[in-house]
Amino acid sequence: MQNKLVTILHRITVALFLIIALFPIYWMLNTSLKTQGEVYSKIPTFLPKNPTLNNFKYLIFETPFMNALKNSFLVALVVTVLSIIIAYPTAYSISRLKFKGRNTFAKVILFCYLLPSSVLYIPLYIFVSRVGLSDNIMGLMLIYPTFTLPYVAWILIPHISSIPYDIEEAALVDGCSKFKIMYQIIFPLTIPGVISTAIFAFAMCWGEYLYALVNITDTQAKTFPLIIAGLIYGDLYPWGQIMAGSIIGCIPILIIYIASSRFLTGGATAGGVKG
Amino acid sequence: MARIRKFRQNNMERQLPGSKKSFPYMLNIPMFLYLACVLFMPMIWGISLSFTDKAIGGEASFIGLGNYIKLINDKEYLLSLWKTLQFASISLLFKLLLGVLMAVVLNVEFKGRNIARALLLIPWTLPNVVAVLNWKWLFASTGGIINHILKLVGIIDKDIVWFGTAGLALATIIVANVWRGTPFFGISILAKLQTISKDYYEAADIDGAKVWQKFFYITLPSIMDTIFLTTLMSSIWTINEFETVWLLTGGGPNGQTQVMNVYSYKTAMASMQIGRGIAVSVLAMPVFLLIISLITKKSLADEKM
Repeated sequence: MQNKLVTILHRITVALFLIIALFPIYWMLNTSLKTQGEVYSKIPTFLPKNPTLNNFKYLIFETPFMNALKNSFLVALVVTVLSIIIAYPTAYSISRLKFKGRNTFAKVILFCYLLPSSVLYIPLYIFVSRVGLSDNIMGLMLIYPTFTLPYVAWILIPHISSIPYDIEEAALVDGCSKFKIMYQIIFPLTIPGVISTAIFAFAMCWGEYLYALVNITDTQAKTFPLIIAGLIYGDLYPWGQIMAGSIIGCIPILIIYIASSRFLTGGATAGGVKG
Repeated sequence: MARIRKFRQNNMERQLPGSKKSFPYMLNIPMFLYLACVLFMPMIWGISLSFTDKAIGGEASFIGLGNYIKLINDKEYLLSLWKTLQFASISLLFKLLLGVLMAVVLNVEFKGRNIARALLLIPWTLPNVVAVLNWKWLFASTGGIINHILKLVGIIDKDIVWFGTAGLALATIIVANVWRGTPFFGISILAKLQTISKDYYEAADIDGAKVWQKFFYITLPSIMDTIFLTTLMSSIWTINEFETVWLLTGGGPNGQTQVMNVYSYKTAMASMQIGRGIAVSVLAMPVFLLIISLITKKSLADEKM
């Protein structure tokens, strides 16, 4: 009797969680396919009466949205690749080599990873304008590694540590050089970890708002979060377009998330999204 | 065995002499050079600017603690601290409770569990701006679905202006933040739950323990560490929240949702008082440093670094 009750309660809880998590997303999709008239109709419709792709068309052809997507993509891609290249040797040295200051290095990395952007955004705004990169996506490429680098290094450390030492020893016996061990033997074994950290680093840059807001005012250099947030003006917000933009902005994230879900292992990489 | 030990000894010795000693440091040069130039240098310079009257486009002259004295006498600033505390504590509490609940229900075997887990993670994978704009639309006073549903079930009879009413505006921000942040708690705690041995529960079953007894005597004690760490990390991000508030309410009505970061943004970027804007962050630093040092202690101890 008690067990049955618990099972029913359990199913209801799961269902409630699913409804709360997914309803806003369904509503986003629903709204994006409606006309402005239907969006603001007295009684909201749960399915669009005359489904239309006009919101998407308008966004793609009449606004700088596509250019913004391209900017976001470029920034996220460049920053992610650079972060992996630069952070991997650091992570390797901290998890594998014994040297003085190793502990301190690890602490500095964790400190930088946890340091909130609110502390940095004004100094970095001045820094970027001094080096002449405001209103330029290069400015964002310069700034974003301040959070992706420590994140990638910090998450890669346990991944590298989990690789058995014996492999390295065998390679040493064979006379492998240290660089070769690091890149040709350990790196391939770290690939699953690298992929999942890369995904989260990409997602962090892709949706970043505060730094972009402060440093970019030129429409040509705007990233997509700025463009869709910028659609909020006037009296009647164009919710259809805003939701269409939101959906397009989610797609790359969802695709890489689903495609690589087998690499995303539990809580290990969870800190990639700050919420 | 002896050969392996001998080999390990040789290996250690090999690392020591000559140029090899610098190898670990060489590996660290690119990253720490970058962090020194783009993170620490600007940060230190920024802190020094907080002792000046630097404005956008203007020259900086030293004014000592002027910015700090103005801040602690500024009612708007003090209100923003209070609002940050309110927002962060309520938000964290809900994220934690719902996160534990989510982890516990996902830890039970049932048909479709993997799909449910993947679906429940979606809110947390979305870009924050997208999530926030979505909630802005759900709570909209004209055409918003939440007003409509509340009218349908008869809780209200007139549209509520969510973003224009003090308490409700704060509630919308909390809802948006909790909706996106809960899966982080859920997935972290779930990962820990899956390491608890089933033997404990079986032994408890034999002793005739009730569901809630198993939860309070077996589950909760084993996930305490994870709860502590997750809450600390999330507290940094929650205190640091900007875009949820900025895009939903802009800090209104009447500063009733103006959290610290929105105040700092308005001071530095809209009023162009860079120095005072940085002073806001500097005053918050001790809190962040305390949380960071707690996390460092905890996670470095866990990994035996």
